[in-house]
Amino acid sequence: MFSGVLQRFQRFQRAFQAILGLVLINIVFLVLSPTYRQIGNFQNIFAQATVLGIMASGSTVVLISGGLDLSVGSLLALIAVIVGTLLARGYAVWLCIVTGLLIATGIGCTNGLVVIGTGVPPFIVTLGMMMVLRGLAELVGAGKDLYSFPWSFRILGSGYTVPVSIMAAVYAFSSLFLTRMRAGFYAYAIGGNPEVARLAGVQVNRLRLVYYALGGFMAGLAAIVLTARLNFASSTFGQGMELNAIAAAVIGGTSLSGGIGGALGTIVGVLVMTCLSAGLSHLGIGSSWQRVAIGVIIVLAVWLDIAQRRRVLK
Amino acid sequence: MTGSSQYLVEMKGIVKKFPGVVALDHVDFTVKPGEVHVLLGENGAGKSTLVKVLSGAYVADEGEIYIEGQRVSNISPEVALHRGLRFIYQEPSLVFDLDVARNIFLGLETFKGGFVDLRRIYRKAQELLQRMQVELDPRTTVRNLSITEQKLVEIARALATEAKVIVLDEPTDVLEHYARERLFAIIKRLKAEGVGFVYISHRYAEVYEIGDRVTILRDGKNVGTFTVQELSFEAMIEKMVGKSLKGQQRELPLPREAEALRLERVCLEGRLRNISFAVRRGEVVSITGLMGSGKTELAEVIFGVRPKTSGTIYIEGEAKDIRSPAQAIQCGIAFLPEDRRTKGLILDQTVRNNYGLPNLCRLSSRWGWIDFAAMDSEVDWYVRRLGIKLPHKFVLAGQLSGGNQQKLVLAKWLGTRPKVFLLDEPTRGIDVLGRREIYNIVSELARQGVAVVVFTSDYNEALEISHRILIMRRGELCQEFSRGEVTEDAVLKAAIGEVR
Repeated sequence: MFSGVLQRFQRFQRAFQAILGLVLINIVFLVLSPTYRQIGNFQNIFAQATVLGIMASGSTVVLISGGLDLSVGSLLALIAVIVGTLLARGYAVWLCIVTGLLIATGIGCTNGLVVIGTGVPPFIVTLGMMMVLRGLAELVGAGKDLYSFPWSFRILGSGYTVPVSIMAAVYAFSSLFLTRMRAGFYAYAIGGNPEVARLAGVQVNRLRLVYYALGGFMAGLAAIVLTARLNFASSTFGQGMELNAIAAAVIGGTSLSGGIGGALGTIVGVLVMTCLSAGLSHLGIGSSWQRVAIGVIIVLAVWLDIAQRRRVLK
Repeated sequence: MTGSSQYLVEMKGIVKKFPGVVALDHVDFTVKPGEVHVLLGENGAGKSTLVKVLSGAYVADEGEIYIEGQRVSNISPEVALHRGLRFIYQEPSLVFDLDVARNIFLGLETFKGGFVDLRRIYRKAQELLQRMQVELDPRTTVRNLSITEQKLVEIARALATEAKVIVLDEPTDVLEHYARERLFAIIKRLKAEGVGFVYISHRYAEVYEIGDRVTILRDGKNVGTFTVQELSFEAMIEKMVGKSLKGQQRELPLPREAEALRLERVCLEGRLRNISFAVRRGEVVSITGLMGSGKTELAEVIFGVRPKTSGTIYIEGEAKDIRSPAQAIQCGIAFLPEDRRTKGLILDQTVRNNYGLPNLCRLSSRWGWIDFAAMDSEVDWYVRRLGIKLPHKFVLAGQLSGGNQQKLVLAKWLGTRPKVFLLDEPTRGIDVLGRREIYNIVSELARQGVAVVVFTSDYNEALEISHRILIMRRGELCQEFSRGEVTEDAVLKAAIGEVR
């Protein structure tokens, strides 16, 4: 009976480890930096985490299903400039938002179609799309000053309450999707062994489209929150963010080969990365060293994950 | 202690156990120089395991291995290589994009001034091929060679480093007739030079063509080593298949009248021809035949994994166009695949999640909300009913033993309440007790009115559990037996067809 409890713990082990890491990081910074201890810092961290967090939840679903989307950072930029342009033209805020989300979902879906239709590995397809979308974003945003948006739009990103609520809602949805909904259940199966899933009657390709589309939607939502917070839209947004999103998911226990992971782990991974950045900033350490630190954490997290899985499946 | 030095290889008393099954039970095996020693046995008899022990891939639990009279206690692939043992498996281990000569000397290249001495390699490859009397240009890319030629390249590679013993695992499975002649000619030539061969096969006719001695394995035991002259074909069959035990004939429930599955003139381009048969509700039909006879392809066609090229399939009297597993499942067909580890279960997932996979639509609402309580209770029910042994509730499928894994696959399909259940080699790799349990489950299924089709290469099994046995040979159904009117060797002879 006791061993049963141990096994249950092991299932959430990766998420627990990430939480442990998060707590440790925070303790270290709380001790070392007086400015880290202020409440404003934590509010800031959560607000900062929102954009990456939203994007990472989409990446998590795609990764679990065995897919990969490297284009979401560029997609974020494209949606940002599209929404910015529509706002600048005076369209209703809700219309701009809905359009942006629809386009984002559509592009995510397109990625999925290309991957499935051509059989080219998702790494390559989305790498190509990454550049395509970035180019399109630059074209759409060229020569425009996209800033100073209506208050009803800016509220989505400003301050602390609204963005964090959006992130919380996104994670509540992702978590429920992955743990209690049919499509989410299938994601684990497809990522774990797509042939077994197919033989069990699962519409593998149709569902893969759903997952890529979801990833696109999240990128679009992240774009809107970011644009709202910064109050301007630029085609330079989101560079490298897709990799940060994947890193956050992996730190939180999502496997790059699919079949394993979860929303809870990803949010922790996002917070780990954000706290690390914030803490190092408070200690006066520049962004270059921050990048080094995050890189090291990523490798350690994946190494730990692989070592444990080898042991479990002996 | 030294072994007898008249043998190139001597294996004494090899025991190898896996959880729940004794794969090798005190097996003795020897190889003399200049002989072809055929290792014969059915699927699961232990042939591959014995070879893997010899190659160092497995470590034997008991027993000794002697190479050229010297005891080798820590055999490993490196040691085996060093001692002159070479292994050629069914799948070619060649680098397809390199040429013949480079493949032959892969890892054995010599260098001249820091560069690979290509001239020497091509020269030596040419010499080697001439010695084998094989006409191949050493500069040909391996990808462009026929399968026979690729096998010959592998043999050349084995010889490049003075092989003393070459082990061939089912070498002719993929070869056409003329290619086999070529291979046999090479083997005979090498025999004359003193090389010893271990020739693993299930093709009984070849024993007489190429073999000097035969060892027959059954259920992990060596049931006899004979010279080819002293072993008659009937005796060989009898040793391979074994006597049927009294009481083996279990009680089978009566099949019902209604037809559950019917195939009419079903063809699959190049693999199946005019397959026609019917199975009634509650009937167990075994489809048996040698490897390569098309059994698995037939199962895949019925289940929609492969589309048939012509013919009709009827489920409960209605013609159905089945083009995908999803459609097959909707028609009430279930399929237990041959390879449970890669096609039957997701090893990384829990027992519960594996069970849920084909049953999810039933266990969730229209909007996709999953009822885990219902799923858990169904899993518990099947675990108890089928006797699946779980150390605890959150086991991953990959952590279960072979027999329990198979029961889990059965459970997940039983949850779909199938009308027709296709089982492909359901007891492969499962021990005697596990097999009994699975046979009981099959009988129970029949009692409940499910039409069961078992695809198996184990003739004893076919006889024990089915009402009828259909024999497949080279993609066609060639004969049908009813239970009680046939014995094992009649089945086997029908499966082989003409014996030379």
